[in-house]
Amino acid sequence: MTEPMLTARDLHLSFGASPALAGASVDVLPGEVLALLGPSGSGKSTLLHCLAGILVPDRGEVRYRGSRLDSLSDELRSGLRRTDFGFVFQFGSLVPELSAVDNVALPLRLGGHRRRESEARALEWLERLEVADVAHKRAGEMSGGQGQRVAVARALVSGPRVIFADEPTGALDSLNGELVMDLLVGAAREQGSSIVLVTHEPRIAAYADREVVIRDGALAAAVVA
Amino acid sequence: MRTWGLGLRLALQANRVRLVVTALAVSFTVAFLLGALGALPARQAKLDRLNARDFVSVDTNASKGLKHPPRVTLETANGWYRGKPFTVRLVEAEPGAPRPPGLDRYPGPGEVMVSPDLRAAMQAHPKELASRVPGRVVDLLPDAALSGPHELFAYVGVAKVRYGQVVQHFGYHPRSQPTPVELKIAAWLGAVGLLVPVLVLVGTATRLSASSRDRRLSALRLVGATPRQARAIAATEGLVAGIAGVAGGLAFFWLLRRPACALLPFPDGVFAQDLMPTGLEWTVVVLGVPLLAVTTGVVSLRKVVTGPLGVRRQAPLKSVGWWRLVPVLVGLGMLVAMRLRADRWAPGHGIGTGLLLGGGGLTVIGLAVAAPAVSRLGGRLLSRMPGISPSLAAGRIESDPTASARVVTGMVLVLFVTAWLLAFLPVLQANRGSSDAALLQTLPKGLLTTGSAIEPVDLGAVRALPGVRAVVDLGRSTVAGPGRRDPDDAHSVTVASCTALGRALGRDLGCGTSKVHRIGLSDWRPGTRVDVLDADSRVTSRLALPAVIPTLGFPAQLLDGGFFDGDLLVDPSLLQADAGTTRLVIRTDGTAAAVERARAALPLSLAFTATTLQEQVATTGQVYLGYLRAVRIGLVLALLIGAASLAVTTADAVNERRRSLATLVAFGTPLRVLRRSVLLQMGAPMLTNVVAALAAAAVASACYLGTLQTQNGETWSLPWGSWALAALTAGVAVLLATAATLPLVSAIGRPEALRAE
Ligand SMILES: Nc1ncnc2c1ncn2[C@@H]1O[C@H](COP(=O)(O)OP(=O)(O)OP(=O)(O)O)[C@@H](O)[C@H]1O
Ligand SMILES: [Mg+2]
Repeated sequence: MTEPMLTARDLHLSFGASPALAGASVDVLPGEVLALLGPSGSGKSTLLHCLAGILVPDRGEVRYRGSRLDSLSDELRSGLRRTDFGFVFQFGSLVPELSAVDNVALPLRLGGHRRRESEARALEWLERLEVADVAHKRAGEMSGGQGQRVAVARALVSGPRVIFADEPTGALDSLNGELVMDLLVGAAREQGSSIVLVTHEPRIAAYADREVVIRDGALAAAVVA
Repeated sequence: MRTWGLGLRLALQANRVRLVVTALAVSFTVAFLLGALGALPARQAKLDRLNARDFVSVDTNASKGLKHPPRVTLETANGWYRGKPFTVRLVEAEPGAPRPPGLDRYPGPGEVMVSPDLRAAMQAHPKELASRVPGRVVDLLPDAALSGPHELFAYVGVAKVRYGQVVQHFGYHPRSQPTPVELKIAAWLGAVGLLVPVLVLVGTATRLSASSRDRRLSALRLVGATPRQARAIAATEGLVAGIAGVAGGLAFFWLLRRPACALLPFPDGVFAQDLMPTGLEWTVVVLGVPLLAVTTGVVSLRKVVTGPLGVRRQAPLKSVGWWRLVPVLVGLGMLVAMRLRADRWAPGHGIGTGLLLGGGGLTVIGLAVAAPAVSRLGGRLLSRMPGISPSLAAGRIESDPTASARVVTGMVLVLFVTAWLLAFLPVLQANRGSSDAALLQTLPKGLLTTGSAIEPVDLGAVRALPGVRAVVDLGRSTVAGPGRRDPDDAHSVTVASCTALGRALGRDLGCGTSKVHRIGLSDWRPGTRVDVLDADSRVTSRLALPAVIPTLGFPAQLLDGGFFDGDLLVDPSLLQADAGTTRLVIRTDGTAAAVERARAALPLSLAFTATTLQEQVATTGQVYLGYLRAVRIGLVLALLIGAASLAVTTADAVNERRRSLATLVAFGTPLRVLRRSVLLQMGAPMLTNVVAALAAAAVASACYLGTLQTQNGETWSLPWGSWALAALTAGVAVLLATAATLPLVSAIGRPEALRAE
């Protein structure tokens, strides 16, 4: 059996009095597409944020490739997000003032790569995602579908091991949604990256190798597709 | 390092408005600071210039008959021309004699060198100055030879100087005179009054569209920017604004230096190159101000740098506690304590000064601290009002009173400082300027008085001049006798006809039929006889003082001015005046031309001593009136800047809420309701804060003025009228600022606004 890429054990996290996570545990295997399903407010996003090291759980542990993620410093977790993780959210994850190519080049530039090299790689990815024509438009000037494809390009540009996608198609029509999913999953499989996908659309969930359902902050059932 | 490059790009591409506004605010700060700091050195530079051309004279008796190095003999005449001080130096120079700065040679006999303004005056009115600046203009005096750009100054070459001094060397050792307290206070108040609103504007600007910046930074954090990188990126933006602002500020300073010099209260002006802060001050301003901008930028980001999920995942807003009212109350309490124990704790002594400065400072800071609580109070009051708009507005204020307070803090501080200054101005005014200013109003215009004539004067010729109404000569005599406490002392009396003098002065002096009048505090005893003495102190005749000596109805200020000899005015029919000691009172029609015509007709020595009362007063009064004018201009500027930052913040606050407003519109909330709620939401906290600021200022000034009253026994009334005006101005500014947001609200009402995120 392969070692899991990411593991979460018995995560608890509450905002104020109301618990968002109450004993959630999940494994993410290398190269798999894992879908987190569940009703609204059940804690899907919160779990994803904990897995990605954005939020630190109150209790429980998150391990990435065997070592604790939740006890790392903010600095180190930021570094991981830059190099090992990629993100596609429903909206708002692009920097509106920067052009598409600048947005995609961001993780590389923050990691200290040269500007020219970063932009060349960003352009390659934009071409692969068929949005090279908007490379020099600002994020605010693109359509929703174009924006999401740029976001996917940015999630992939640093060759991440895990891509976190929180309702990546939530703001798109079904045609565009499937296009974005095809590109995301295709590229991830090519790179061998895992995907943690939050969605409540069955058609999108169908891209997953495995689905878990979350209810009231904990896993309700695991279904292997 | 790469991060800085990225930050630079973001700074330039992201919010240009914020960048420009911040840079402008920083520019103002830098320019104001440099100007204010330059004012005191400018005064010193002026003194240095005067010292440099001043000279130490040779004791000619000691060196008589000896061989001596080349000499220059100078006779200086100080007078007035058309209301401005005017100096002529008569020069008799041997080749190679020492020269003052700026002169590479002396004018020979028949030649003159004049300052640019004097040359302009000579060209405009050749006849008026021909006798006082006799000769051919061979050169203009350069800046180095003058104390100010508008000085009227001339070197006149003559063959023989009659009453001159031989120069040993030019330049006293530059001594720095202590800066007068009034000047320091004026400079300090001016700097604070201007800096407070400008700093508020800087703070305001760096917070402009904060939420979109927060979103940008959290987006960066999401893709892996470390907290340090995010801070660096934010700091770069501040730095760019700071550097651009310093560059702009230096440009403003260089461009506006000359007009700014005109605001300084020196009658002969200030050379632009003299308005120059010291090297240390330059360094502090040029490095400190951008640093401040960067710091403000970073500090205002504290909360958001932490999270990649941005503001969404921030800790819930802390509610605003009433403890915020404590500092301002303590500050006011200190001032009240000072007032209550004014007999012991008056400013000027340790505790009093501490209470005044500490209490005043704490009140200013306290007002800013209290602003959220006071805004919340405004929200509470709103929630009592019926209707949906007030409750919408009240909910908003209650949910984040700090944000509503931020908008008004600048205005509140400006108002407080302004109101305090308005109360303080009359004190400043009364200490020096205003008694003179009041006197200026009552005195007849164009009334010339002269010093003692050395040469005989042709009074008839002066009387015949067009524009001359009356000429009275004041003689002088010396008396002594038993009519005074010390009978052996000789005393001067002025000899002139009371009625003629009254006519010349154009006022009723209360002459009556008496031929002897008291001037001021005379201790001559009525009904006694006094001896009249000649120049050698011999008794030439006797004078019987009347049984009643009426006092001359004369403005007290004139008596101080050395206008009369002694303390008695005696009619010429009773006394023979000394020959050659005549002084003149010349009444003209008040036009500058008539005054100068009269001066030009007098012998040279008298022409320079002939002074209008306005000119006499001007020397002291004008400088202080100048300070007052500078302070008033500062106040207007401060209010303008305050209103500007108010308008900017208000518009920005609405813009930031674009999304939630658009949502309300989308839900079908009538635009009218929305507009009203925005108006109330902006207006209510402003109103409560403005009222609080004015109330605090009223308490503070009442305490301060009350203390002065106890201390000096003077009565000061609170400037209710000016305060009402300030309140009105603030009210109008508040109204305009909120009204300015209405078009924005309407724009948001358009459906496409929802998309604009
Ligand atoms: N920043 C926060 N402050 C307070 N409560 C929060 C915060 N974020 C989430 N919650 C609460 O935590 C619970 C889980 O939220 P979460 O966003 O994880 O749900 P979700 O499953 O992603 O829902 P959805 O499908 O609607 O996105 C919810 O009850 C929510 O109200
Ligand atoms: Mg969610």
